Amino acid sequence: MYDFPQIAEGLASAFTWHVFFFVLAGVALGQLVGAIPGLSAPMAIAIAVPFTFVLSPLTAISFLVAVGKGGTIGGAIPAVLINTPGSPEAAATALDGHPMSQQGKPVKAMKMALFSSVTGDTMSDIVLITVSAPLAIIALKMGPVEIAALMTLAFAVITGLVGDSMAKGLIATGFGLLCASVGLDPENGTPRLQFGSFELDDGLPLSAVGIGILAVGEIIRQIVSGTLHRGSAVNIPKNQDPADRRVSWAEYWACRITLLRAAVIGTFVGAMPGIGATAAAFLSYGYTKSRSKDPDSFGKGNIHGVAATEAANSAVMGANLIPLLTLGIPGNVTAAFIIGALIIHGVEPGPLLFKEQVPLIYGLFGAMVMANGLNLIVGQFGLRIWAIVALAPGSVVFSVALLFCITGVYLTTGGLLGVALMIGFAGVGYLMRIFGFSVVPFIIAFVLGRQYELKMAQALIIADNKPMELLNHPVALMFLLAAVFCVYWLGIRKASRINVSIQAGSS
Amino acid sequence: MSMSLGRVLGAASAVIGAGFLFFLIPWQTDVVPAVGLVPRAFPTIAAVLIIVTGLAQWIKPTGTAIFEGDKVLKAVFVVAACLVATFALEVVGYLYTAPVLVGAIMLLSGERRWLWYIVGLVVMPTFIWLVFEIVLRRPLP
Repeated sequence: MYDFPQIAEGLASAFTWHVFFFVLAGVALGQLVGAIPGLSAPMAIAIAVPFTFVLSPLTAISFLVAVGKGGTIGGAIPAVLINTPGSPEAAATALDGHPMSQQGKPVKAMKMALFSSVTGDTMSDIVLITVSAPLAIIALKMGPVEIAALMTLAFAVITGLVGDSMAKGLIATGFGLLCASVGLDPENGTPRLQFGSFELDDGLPLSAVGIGILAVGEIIRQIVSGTLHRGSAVNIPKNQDPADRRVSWAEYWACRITLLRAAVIGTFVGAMPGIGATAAAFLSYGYTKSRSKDPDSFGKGNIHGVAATEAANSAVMGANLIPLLTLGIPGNVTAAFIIGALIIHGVEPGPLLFKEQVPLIYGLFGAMVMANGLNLIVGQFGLRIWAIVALAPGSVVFSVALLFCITGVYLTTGGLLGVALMIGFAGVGYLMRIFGFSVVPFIIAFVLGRQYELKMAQALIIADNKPMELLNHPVALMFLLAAVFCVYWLGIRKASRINVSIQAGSS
Repeated sequence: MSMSLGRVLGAASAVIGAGFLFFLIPWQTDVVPAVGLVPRAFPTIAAVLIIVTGLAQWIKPTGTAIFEGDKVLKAVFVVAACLVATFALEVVGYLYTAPVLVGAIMLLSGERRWLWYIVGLVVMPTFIWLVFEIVLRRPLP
């Protein structure tokens, strides 16, 4: 497992000008996209995936991860300046960041957000780098039966935690699995749900489905909201006290416990599939406030509030690669697209990566560390530029983003079918959003569907088509029981409690 | 969420799932002798999952849902405009279609400032065309 020459080769391949350039571009793109309210890093990643086909696997994955890392920092900028989070995970940042801005300290708040993000992200990456290889050794002991059961558990956890209805989450999962069934079936090679189209032999293209559901669906929702033409008034005072324009070492050091705690919360949450950066930020904010000697100052411009939220939501980024790299299971949409990109590049995600793709994995770790440093540098110089970008009206931003999506999918799918599919899925994505169906389980089910089917088929062969054979696989049995428990606890029980509280409220 | 809308969504999901289970999957899959999973097994599992959870949602609606007719109508217009633009791409070309699409969407969004129209209609489509056609050498229609 620890092949040091290969590890060194991987790290060396990360620290090349080629990878450096793409990581820099990814970080800048992520910060830029994150700074625009309504656009988010996962949307940027979805749009960017098709453009990475021509890159080497390491460069492509490093670029996508860099976009994700930059996005968490960019999201804080409009949260601080205009009280509108650029991405959902920055919502908690606005609680104290915007009051700081109103007190004439917008640059200090943005810089604290930047430093906290980089701190949280770096700590999380250290955990990823140190624990993922040992976890992969354990994961390698699992066979198809255990992996199929683990995927079932992951679907149960994700649908239970994402969105406000497990039933709707499971419907979205079922729909994602159905879409993954389109194309030649992986076991027998017969066409399925293709309606005679040979262009769908390889299944529905990830770029069309992902960009349609995630990016264009959201773009449509924003366009029809009727509020996009309004520009945002961003005012950064020019003649500020220098102390209000920077974060001193004393101020940063005073937040060390807050940062450490937030990084631990973010890392823990990130390693769990389905919970996400938004929950991590609010958990960290709530806990920091409860532990503070002056809780009343929170919500009124306390710098610890900014540190707690930004360190936590950024710590999720590194940690959510733990289940991805060790088990091949994505914890969120960003990870799902990274899995999709790995598959497109002919790399099978999962614990075998640590055996067969050592240079790629350690190259990626090297690129992640590089991305953290570049995030800090780009952020230091770019904060004011991204703040100006937040001024652009949504009517222009979303129209142009739509054009990018159409262009990208046209080029990658090589024709009109891909674009038509993208638009069709955009309509579905829009309806899912307004009707309260989370798109996260759909995307994850779509990306994992083929692998899930293959593992189920292999498990069935191993079990000789006898369900009782499962008793010989106690780990798989445990995963399945945990999945059933999740459905009860996060779905049935939660729904009953909501109904009881609605009835109590009405009486 | 109104309880009725939640029920309608549950029932609609179950009907769609049933449509797949009883009509589309048998029609669009082959019957072959298989050792592991037969070709229709996996989509069948997905359809059954949709039906069961759709019925659960119908019986006990959960979650939020908002239906605003005027916005849905606008969304239908955006989807239709995108489809028309897609087919126009191949007929009249990228450089003519892209500004019209962006302009239509900006107009629908309520944008009335002409300066931003220059950015949306001229600057950005030209920039995208230059990036793909000239820099990346990926031909656009």
